[in-house]
Amino acid sequence: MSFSRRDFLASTAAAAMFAPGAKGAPVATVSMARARTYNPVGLTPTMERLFDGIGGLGRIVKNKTVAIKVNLTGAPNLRMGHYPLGWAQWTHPTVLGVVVSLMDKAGAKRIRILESPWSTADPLEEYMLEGNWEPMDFVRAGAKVEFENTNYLGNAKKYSRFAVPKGGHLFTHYDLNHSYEDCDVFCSLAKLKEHATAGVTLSMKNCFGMTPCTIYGDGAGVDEPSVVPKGGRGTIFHAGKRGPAKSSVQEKNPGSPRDDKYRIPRAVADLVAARPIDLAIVDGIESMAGGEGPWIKGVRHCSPGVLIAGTNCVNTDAVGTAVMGFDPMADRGRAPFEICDSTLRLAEELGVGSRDLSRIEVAGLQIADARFEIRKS
Amino acid sequence: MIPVRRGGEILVAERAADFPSNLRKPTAAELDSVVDVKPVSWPGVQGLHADGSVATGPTGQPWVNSNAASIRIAQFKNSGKQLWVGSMPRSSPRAEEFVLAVADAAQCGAQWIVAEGGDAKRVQAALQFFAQHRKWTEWEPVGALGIVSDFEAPIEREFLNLAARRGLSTRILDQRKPQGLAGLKALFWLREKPPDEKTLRFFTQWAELGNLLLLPHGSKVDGAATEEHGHKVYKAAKARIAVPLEVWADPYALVHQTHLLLSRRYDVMRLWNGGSLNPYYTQSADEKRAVIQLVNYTARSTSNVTLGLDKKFRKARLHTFEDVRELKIEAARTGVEIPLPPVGVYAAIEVEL
Repeated sequence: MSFSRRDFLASTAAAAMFAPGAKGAPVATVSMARARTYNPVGLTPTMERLFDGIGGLGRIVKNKTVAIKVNLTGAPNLRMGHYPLGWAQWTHPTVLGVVVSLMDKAGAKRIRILESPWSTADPLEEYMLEGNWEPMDFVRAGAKVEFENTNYLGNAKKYSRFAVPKGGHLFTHYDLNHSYEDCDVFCSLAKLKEHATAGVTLSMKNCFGMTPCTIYGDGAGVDEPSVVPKGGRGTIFHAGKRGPAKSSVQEKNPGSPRDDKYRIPRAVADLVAARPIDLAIVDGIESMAGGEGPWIKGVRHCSPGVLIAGTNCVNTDAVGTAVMGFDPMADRGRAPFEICDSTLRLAEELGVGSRDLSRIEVAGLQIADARFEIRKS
Repeated sequence: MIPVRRGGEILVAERAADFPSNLRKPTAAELDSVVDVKPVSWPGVQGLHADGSVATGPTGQPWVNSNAASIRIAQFKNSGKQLWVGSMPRSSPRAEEFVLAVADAAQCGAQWIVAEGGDAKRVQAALQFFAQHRKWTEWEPVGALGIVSDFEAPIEREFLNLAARRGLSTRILDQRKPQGLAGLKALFWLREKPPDEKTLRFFTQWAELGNLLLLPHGSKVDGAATEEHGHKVYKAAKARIAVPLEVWADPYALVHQTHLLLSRRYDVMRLWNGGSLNPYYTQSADEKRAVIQLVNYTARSTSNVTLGLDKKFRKARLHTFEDVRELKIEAARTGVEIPLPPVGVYAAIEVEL
């Protein structure tokens, strides 16, 4: 009987996912690959190898409805310098196209591309076009590819309520667009970046954008969700100046600090515990240093040249944090969390996954070889 | 002929070089050949606070006061006539605002009635620049959306203004010249009453080539329809015919819905980091040359603006009042992208295929 590396990794990864380990936080293999360009010809085999490193995509997506949350943060007409969005703050469209194509090839039944675009209920495809992406490229990459703007109610009649295990840090429940419930596999397709409020932006922080601004945004309705989203998440999530629409579960402890460096890491940890990420992918080929978007002072372009994937988002982000030159075990007071709490630690506390690199197997490119000191770039 | 407001009087300078000293009274015949554009406003960003922050419109973009839409409508209604724009300066304008007022009017081919103040040399340089590049204003606007309207209702006029702010480029059509439909993807019958049967048939046939026809509320269209973006959309062959569910009331919503029905796929131009700029894109009759005029309505120079165009232009040249220079062109997904240096009050990017 032959037993391929892919089979071996699939079995060990699945077993590892449920292994209790230190503090009981799950661990699973994280895979990394070197990639210097977004040329799809070279990127496709590289990403195939990347996914082989975690046991192949087939075991994750075959016959499944897959939802991919991409990172399209900020307005589409806002660039860092002259850099196209995918070279700085957004997931690169070629990475998304290759992921869709490989998932389709691996037998995904239906692939849904999700994002809550900045302050709009417009179709996600229109938002992409404004950023000079071609949504038809993704449609053509798979047999059944759909889009949904998750910043409002969207195509459903009601929002889906997600409970946070262990009662959550900031909220016990979150109301999200139905797309995050109506999928078998949830994939966070993120960018490798720093973050001014949360230290790092990786697969977990990407999920902050799942929250609909009709409930949690600056223009959210008072009693019920507003019909369309207006503004960002500054008032409720960052500043805690008011609660979400009253139809949703309110904050656990209104007496907790009104400090976004306390609140945002907790909200993110809650969200990835409430809506588990089945597949975390981080695009670190081209990116930005110094923050998560061009609105942060002092940001600059950088080229880490790396792709990361894993089935456990805390493990994956721990590896990503290490690649950026930081210690994933660090917490408030130590880089990259000098002024904020660690989302990694908070998610670990909710039992999502371990951030302890000594427990995480890395397949393919190793951390020492991938290391890109983002603050020195 | 350049009109100048001096005291309570309108005088004229024969040429830009004559401003500000060599002025005379216009003749009655000269005044008869001029159209006074209405309504107008002092161009600029509304609500520019002392700290440099600005009031924003519903999109989060700065709220810009521009006379460009009023000028385009006046041009359409008064073909061949000289257009004067008589906006009075707001109290205590900065020197560059006088140049801005010249540029806002001149980009579309009108003359601002020059108010005295500011830096007369800079105003003169701007006047000379636009006199030298008058051909640009004779070129046709580029856009995928054609508009048929008499612009009598306020919402019809405001549509043109807000469309420009949204990056939705439009062409005003003369319905007597059907050849004007070439290159369009959508046609908007922007009038209160639907077109007569013959006109509707003509436009429907054009829509059947794979285009979008937008009609006013109450238009009768046969067949099954779906609801999209506040409209009933009837599909027949390759045609899409959209009729609003309600009578138009909000110009912002109308522009938004129209843009979604057409799709940003047909945007002929995009701007990144250009929130304070209003672009005006025109092309030569042979469509081989074009110019994108950018008026900056804030007091600050722009930073890191990128211009995206849907055609594969090979050459780009930057014109300012002081300078002309070649620009680097980069290939993009569709067409090209042109990274721009900082733009002060005004810049024109002349491109060639």
